[in-house]
Amino acid sequence: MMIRPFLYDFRRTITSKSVLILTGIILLISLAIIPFTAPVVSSFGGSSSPDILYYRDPGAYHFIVFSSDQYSQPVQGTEISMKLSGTQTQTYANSSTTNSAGYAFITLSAPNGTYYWTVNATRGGSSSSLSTYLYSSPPIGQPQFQYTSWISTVQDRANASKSDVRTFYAGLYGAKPLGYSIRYKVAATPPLPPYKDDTPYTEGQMDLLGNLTDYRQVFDPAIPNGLSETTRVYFELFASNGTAVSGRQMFVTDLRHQQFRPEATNVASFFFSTILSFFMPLAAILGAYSSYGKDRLTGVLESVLARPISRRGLAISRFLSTLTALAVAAIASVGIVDLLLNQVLGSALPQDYALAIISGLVVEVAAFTGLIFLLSHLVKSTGVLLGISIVLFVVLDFFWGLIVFLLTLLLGGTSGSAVAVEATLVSYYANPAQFLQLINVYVFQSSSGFALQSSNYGVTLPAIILDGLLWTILPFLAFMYLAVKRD
Amino acid sequence: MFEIKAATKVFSAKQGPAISSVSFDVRNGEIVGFVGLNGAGKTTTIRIAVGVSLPTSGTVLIDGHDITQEKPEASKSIGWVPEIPNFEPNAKAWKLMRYLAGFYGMDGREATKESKELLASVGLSGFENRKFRTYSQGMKKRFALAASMLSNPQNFLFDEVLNGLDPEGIQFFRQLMMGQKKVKKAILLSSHILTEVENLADRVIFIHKGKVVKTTTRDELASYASKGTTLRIQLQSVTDEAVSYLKTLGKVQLDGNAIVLSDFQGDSAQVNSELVKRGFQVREIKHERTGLEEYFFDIIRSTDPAK
Repeated sequence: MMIRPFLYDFRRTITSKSVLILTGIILLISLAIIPFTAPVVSSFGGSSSPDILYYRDPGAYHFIVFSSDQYSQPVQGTEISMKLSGTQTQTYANSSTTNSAGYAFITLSAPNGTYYWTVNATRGGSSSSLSTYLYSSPPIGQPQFQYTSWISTVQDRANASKSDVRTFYAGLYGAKPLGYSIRYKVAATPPLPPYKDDTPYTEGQMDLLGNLTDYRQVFDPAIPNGLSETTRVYFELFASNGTAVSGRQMFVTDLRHQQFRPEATNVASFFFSTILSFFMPLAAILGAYSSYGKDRLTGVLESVLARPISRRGLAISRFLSTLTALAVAAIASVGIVDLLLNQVLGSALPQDYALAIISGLVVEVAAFTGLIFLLSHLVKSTGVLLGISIVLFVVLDFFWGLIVFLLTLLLGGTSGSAVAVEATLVSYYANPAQFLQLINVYVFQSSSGFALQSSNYGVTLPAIILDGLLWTILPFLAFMYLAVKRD
Repeated sequence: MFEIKAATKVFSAKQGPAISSVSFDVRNGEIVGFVGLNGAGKTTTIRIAVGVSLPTSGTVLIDGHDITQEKPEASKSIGWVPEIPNFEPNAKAWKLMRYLAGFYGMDGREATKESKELLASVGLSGFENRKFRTYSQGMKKRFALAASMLSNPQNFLFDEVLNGLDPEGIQFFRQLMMGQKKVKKAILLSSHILTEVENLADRVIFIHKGKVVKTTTRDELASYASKGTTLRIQLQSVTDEAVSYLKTLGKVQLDGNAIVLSDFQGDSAQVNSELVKRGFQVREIKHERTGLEEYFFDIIRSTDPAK
């Protein structure tokens, strides 16, 4: 191979208009990280509707209503009217007014059955109305919730920048829930589902928030400062014998109004594995098409091949120049992101993580560039090449998750099951567009926000390196064989 | 000079070889005509010779360099003008030429100068800033010619360059080839315009169904041409007397009301006046084939009776 024509073609390709435009676009895309570095401000919704729970005994439905303000403080004098309409023509109605503790107790002497239930609450000049079906045969004496959760957030009275949690619960037959306790756990990366009762933790692993002494209570959980916005808080109601009764998970942003400064690595991880990882295959496809595929399939490449350059030299120079341009763009992109994160969030990316991301992006670019170069030798027209390239991009970048999900279902797995997680992680190996996801799983030991031991699913450093090498080398070698040995 | 040695190209095993054991050489200072019917294998042979297509077997030596094994060295000595020049369509001509010049080691300034000079030399002055796709077929061929001359190569391969050219274009290429021959360049000219080949070529290689069936020198062609041309004579009625007279002028074959007079040497006008003088009503006399055409079809017939 004469080096001069090779270097000349390399230089010309890397500085070609199309490659430079693509490089510029990638660098511009890097700036798209800026919105993700903005502090997260949580906002809470409010409700003027009263909290209601009910239980059934053999002859009637009993409703406990609590009317409150935004701080969950009781409001006296709210008029509550309630009606149960049966499937026939029977209706059962009653009304009451909340007492000084905010409660109203209404009994409707309706037998067991399915009813259309309407509630009107009037307080001052405003009123609210609710309606839904109550289905037959709820367990006798057990508290039931229709509109209301047993736990929800309310604004803290003293500090508008945070929320407390309010519980609304009853014991059997409407007794006060004495003996029940509520516990909570703050978790940055929770373990993988499925969970028993919506909470992955046992009583011993959770902190006591308080004991229930009334139907409605307000608690102020201790939430540390500086958590990422993806941190979750798990709540669990325990009976006096330690049995978990009901669980609920919230994001920490549901509880704290304060601005959450995103973590640099989290922002970078999201940005690289979703946004840049989405565009890099597209850039590689377009770059490979413009620098090689189009020229080869229109015959223009022959006008170059007739010059003093070997077939091997021309093939390598076109591949390497495309790869180099996009790899440099990827490196620059990581640099820009790092710089921005450092400026805005005050923390730079860990060096080894930045290197891992760069390696991942280079693998993606090399794989897609190699595949398009290879396809250029397998199809007969630019239209077919573009068509297949678009299909490749759409399938590998857009529909991969769906395909894996459907395969999981075929294998008998369900969403969130161990089979689904394993299938997803294995699928990352088979798809160069998901290579960064693989790296993220390994680096963060988590997938989709859930903690896992990546090695249990075959995600190990040697396997990732091997996969990266295979995606980098195999399409290129197949392309080189056809470029050098075939017309 | 360049040599093609036993070049075979198989595109598809089902279709058989496109060319089979094609061997010939083109020496310095020589124009060699390359003649064959459509699909005979001329373009395939030339594409292999310039290195844009790979031979299934065989070798091509360009000034001693194997086009497959030592392509960069070999390609320096080749100028190729394809039948349909295909360059980057959206590039301006002079920029395209400058880009191609870079492959020959020219720096930017030298490449620009050389490009503009070459474009001027092929008559494209004033059109340098136009995009290649806006060029006419003739201009594209002139551009390809200029591109083929970038390294002042020793060997030229012209593939149907005269097709689609106007008389001025044909004359331009004819003069160019004669000029290159004078400076001892080796030239292979593939063409359907056999009279041009006949006039220009020192030798003519005939290819048919992928095989070289004959190589003829200019002397052999001249000798064949001296055997005469073929006249097709239409008389009002063909008589023995007319046939007897015409047999004194050459070989006679009857074809309905027409008499085909081959191996005729002389002036067709004289034949006409003599026939009229002898009382025959002559409806038409026309030259059917001459020289190379006749020779070509003779060769085709001898190798492929179906033709």
